[in-house]
Amino acid sequence: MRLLMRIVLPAATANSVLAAQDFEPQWRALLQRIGALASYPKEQGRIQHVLLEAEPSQITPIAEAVFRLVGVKPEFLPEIVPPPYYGWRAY
Amino acid sequence: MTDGLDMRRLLSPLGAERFFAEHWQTRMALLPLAADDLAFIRATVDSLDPARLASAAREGAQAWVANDFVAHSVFPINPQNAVQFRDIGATLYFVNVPLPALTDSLADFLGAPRRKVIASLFFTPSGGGAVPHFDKNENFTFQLTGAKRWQVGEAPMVPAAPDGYTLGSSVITPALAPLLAEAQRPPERTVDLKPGTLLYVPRGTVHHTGAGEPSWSLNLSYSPSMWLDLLRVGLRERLAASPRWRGIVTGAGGDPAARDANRLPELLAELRALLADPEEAEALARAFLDRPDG
Repeated sequence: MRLLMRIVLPAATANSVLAAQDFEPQWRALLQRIGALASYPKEQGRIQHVLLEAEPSQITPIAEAVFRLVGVKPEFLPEIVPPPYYGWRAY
Repeated sequence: MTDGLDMRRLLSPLGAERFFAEHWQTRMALLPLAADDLAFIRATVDSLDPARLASAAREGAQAWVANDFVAHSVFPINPQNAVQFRDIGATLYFVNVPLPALTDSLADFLGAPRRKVIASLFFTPSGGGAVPHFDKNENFTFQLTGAKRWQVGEAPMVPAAPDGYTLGSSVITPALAPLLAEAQRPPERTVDLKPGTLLYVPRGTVHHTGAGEPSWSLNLSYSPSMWLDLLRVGLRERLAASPRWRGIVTGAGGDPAARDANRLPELLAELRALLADPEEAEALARAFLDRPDG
């Protein structure tokens, strides 16, 4: 299924993450490894939207790879859906 | 086995009269179901197969995923991938599964439009839970399998809440904002739901949940038609049929000659007569509730 992965680096830590000498090649390698179809950086890379084609079983492994590189949990936005006001885990 | 959902019987440990007097829209109620009633509900719901339910859900199905690496994310699911999402630890939410034997019975008991009562099913994985929130619907939850712990407010945080809200969220509807500004969060009570328990939670009541084991629950919810809507929509529609009420506002001040065209006093007299007539009031309510969006 097609997914849009959204990664928002907190303003307080974004500069140090993005300024790391090897961040750019690591980020590009990550995008390649997870099979990114496209990526859309905003605010000098602090906000990233990454287009993916992934099966449900790949969602957590992809998120883990991102988390280990940037220390932020990505959110997946498959398409427009009602706001998840019930909470983060279940009902 | 019983052949229908008899709400009066379900509420018998409390009493239907006491339910409406002391709980309806004001306070949660926890009730044990008779084995026959649980068996009937289970048989009516039929197989708890995610693929089948994803296919049946009229308003779609969702998977909610959140774990150590994924921020809370909502995925629309279909019969092909529903089981895959369950297997990765997602909560599954099947919205508006047609179960008229249950929803119509509840609507008829409440004296509510049948189309306003819907059935939804939740699969909650082990370790799942929900952050504190309140809903805009009157909710009747039947625990079908597994166990789930709820923390439920002793009273609504926002009585007759017009919208739902997740505590701490910056997303607040305009209708809710002024009510929320003055609201205090009432103390909560712990409620353990096991198969065969019915929990009624009024809208506006804060609750959060946690499941120590996989569980299925059925939610019958009434998305209320408010009395306010009856006046706002129903009465407006009724009055709009009259050329007098469609007349232009004139003579609120202005030239003395224009004041002669002020029809407000006679219109108010007409409105008072309309509202004072029980048959007219009943017809007004009926016409409103029979509307597709009533």
